[in-house]
Amino acid sequence: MTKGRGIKVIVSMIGFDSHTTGAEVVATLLRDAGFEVVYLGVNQSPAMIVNAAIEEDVDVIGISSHASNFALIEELMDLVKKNGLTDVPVVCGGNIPPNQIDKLTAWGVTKIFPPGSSGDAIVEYLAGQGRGTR
Amino acid sequence: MAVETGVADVVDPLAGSYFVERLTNEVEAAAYRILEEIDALGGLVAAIKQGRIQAMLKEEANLKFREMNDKERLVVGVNHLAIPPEEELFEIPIQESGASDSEAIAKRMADWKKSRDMGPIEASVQRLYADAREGDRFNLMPAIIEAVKAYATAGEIIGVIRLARGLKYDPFDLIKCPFELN
Repeated sequence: MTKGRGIKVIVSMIGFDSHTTGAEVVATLLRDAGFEVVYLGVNQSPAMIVNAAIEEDVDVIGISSHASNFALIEELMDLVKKNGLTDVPVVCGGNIPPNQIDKLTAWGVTKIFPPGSSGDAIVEYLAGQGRGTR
Repeated sequence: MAVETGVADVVDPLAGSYFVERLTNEVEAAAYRILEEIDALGGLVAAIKQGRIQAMLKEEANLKFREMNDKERLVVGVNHLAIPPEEELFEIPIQESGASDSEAIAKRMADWKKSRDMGPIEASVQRLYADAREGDRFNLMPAIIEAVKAYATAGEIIGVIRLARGLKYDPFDLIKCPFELN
């Protein structure tokens, strides 16, 4: 698979959420599709994620969310804007209820992948988010 | 069900069913394969230290996702016979909590902490600290119960046990131990 060639993606947990299975499955899925994946793992604060995005010069930030850490995602979106990373789309996946999707979108999250999202949909969307491809 | 079907009148009502027997044998063989693999690595603790158990769980999660994604594995309500969103009769209300709620709880906790009688707390964590250095098989529950009754917090109790075990009081090293332990 070469769909993700040349596209660098952060996959990260946020806050003290330790439900890593989904994030790790997605990280593996993206790696197998040719993306360059930077998996940050657990206990990541918004500032740590933004710093990693700057240092690694990624194309996309992917956040795993488990229905309880939306305030941290809001903080992350503020930091993304403050650091001028407006060309780096932030994508969230996980157990995200419908009423939160609108809020996340309003904060600037570009795409949400709720439970049941297909692997193809995730790969297809992110394949279009490389700086050279969008 | 036991009364009406008589299923409990015999020791093993499904014995002899080729289908059930074969599936049982398959599960048994697969389980033994995994147990033998773990034994060969030097047991469960060694396998965890080598990251093998974690890798097994990850392989299984990846396999399950791929199978469900490709519809090789059908889960009713998830990737098979799922109710389309427009047919859902009502939206389940979700309780939301904002950052200010956590801050309010933290402030309430900080105020409450100042109101505690520190004498009994210090005596109880001192005992807990001593007990926690007695080794792996020593029962810490009596000391923990005493500390809880003196109004030590879960964080203080875990922190003191961590210190006794040669770890930092706070895994993130942000909070210093408020007690003089010896």
